[in-house]
Amino acid sequence: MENAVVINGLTKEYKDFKLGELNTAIPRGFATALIGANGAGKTTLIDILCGVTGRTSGETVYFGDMTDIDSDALRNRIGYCSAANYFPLDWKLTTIADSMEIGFDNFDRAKFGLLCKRFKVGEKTGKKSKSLVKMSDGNRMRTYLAAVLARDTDLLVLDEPGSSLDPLARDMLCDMFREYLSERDGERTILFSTHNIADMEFATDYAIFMAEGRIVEQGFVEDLKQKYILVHGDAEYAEKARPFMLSQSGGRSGFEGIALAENAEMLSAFDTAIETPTLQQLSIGILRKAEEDE
Amino acid sequence: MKIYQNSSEPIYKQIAAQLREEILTGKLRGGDPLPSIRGLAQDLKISVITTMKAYEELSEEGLVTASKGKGYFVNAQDQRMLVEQHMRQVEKNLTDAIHSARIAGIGLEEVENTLEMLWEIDEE
Amino acid sequence: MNNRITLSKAMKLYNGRSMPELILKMSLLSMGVYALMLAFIFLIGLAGGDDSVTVRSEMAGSLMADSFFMISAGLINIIMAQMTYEKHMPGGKFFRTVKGGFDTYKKASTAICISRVAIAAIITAFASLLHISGIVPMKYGIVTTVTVFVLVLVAMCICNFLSMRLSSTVSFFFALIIYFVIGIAAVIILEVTGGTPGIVQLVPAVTTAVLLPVSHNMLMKVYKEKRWN
Repeated sequence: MENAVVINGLTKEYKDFKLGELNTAIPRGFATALIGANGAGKTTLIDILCGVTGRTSGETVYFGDMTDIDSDALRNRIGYCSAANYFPLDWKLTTIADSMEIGFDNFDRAKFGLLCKRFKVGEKTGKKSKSLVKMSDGNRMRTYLAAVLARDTDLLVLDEPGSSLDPLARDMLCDMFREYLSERDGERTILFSTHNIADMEFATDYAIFMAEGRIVEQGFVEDLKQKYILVHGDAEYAEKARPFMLSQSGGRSGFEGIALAENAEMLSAFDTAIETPTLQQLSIGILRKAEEDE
Repeated sequence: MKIYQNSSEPIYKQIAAQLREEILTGKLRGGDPLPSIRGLAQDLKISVITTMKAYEELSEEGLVTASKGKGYFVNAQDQRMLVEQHMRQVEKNLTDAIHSARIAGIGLEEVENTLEMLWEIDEE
Repeated sequence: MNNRITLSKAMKLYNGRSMPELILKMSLLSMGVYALMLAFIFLIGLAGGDDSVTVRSEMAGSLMADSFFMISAGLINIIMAQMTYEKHMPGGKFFRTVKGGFDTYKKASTAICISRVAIAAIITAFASLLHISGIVPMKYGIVTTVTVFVLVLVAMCICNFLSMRLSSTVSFFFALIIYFVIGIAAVIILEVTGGTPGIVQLVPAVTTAVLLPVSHNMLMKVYKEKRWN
């Protein structure tokens, strides 16, 4: 499998936080989700990958042979967007288009207009468009997404794109992910971060779970769903089952958690119900385990 | 194609089952291309990896072949194998019917009569 | 290095406005502030029962117009000093991902620096014209406008040096103090010399001509090392 980005020994040290050392890869042709709690290092990793933030050490290789994130050739191929404050707040749609046109070689003004229409931002009244400061958080995010999707890129990197969107817009975002990937079948890649994977489950192919600046698990979603099982059981067996579980939670009536699939037989001896976990359930289990390990 | 997102049957299995049926019934013929992986994912509103897994399963069964850079194509189906596949389906359905009959205490003769009657109705 | 983005384009990328557009708008704003303050005091004078001739001669005798000019020139200059595009500010992350990267940032910053000088020059010329034509007489006239212009540049230099060591928020705080002190200094210089131009204007004028570009370049270097990434 080809990779869009390969990360070798990447670290970033702050006074109170350390990212890495990270060694991983983002598969080409898929949508990869960075999943983790706030403060897990998702944004720092994304910022480093996009040239927003410098690194302390390590190397990143893009598209097989590009390593200099400061080069224009690479910058033109990456479409990056943050959730908050991506553009100055006094900007309007036209200001954004003017700026993006200078900032990148592949910004398509007409496409930006179409995407704004599709996302239903701007020109509602037919009057001059509003500045970002007068928009709701959700509309601001839609505008950012329209701007970044109006560029013809090979790698889309979005920091928390779904968090301020309403359910309908989030569904539209998932559609746009699939559209982006299918437009040039197998060549384009998406990396996005989220702390709420539920609504993005059906647009996620590969998942990287982060906690405390480290990667705690990663893999293709379908493989992870085979590697782990979701276990429900009666409270009386909670303690007996615990050694075979990765993480579990529960109350007086029963417990729930995830376990490795290889422990399925053991666990079924405790009268448990075993299912394939959803990505959301997997995330909770894996992140809870990471928290307990701390 | 119909997908149940909340079914206990994994989505990739649902896709594989439906494509398998289309191939075995001859709706998709040898040499026909399958929809592009990312195109189908887009149409079905599911992730790319799920579609890919469905295609890989069909590929392992020998029903389709991946052609590098061009996508997946349906393999020419062996006529004898096709008949065999259908026979297995018939056997499975008849077994279901037998089970139902036993539960209700319906005898073999009556089942045979019903089968004959239904056969005729279907021919018309 | 990206040589296709001009200073003016870099500014449009960062600011949404091209260099001529920004200079024009900010100059108009600066002149507007000056005109408003003058109009206000003129109306107060008239309301007090004086006729326009008296009000004008009172202005000519006091540092009224001189200090209004100082305020309007300094105000716009210090406002524009806030265009630093820090990473945590709106747009900060976007700017760090565009073509040219820091090179484009440097171009935009240089364009702003040049614009600030140009705007100061324009309001200086505007106030000088108003004085020469007799519409708004100042106590020390052209000496005031030139002195203030030179001192604004001095303030820019000092702030450049300070920004090398301080964060944008802290340096803004210090900038307020510096511009205030410079303003007082201007008044003292004018009153002590009695409005005779001399070495007090010449020395800072020559020094800033050298130090402004030097300090700007030094600041850019420091910024790249410490704050860009």
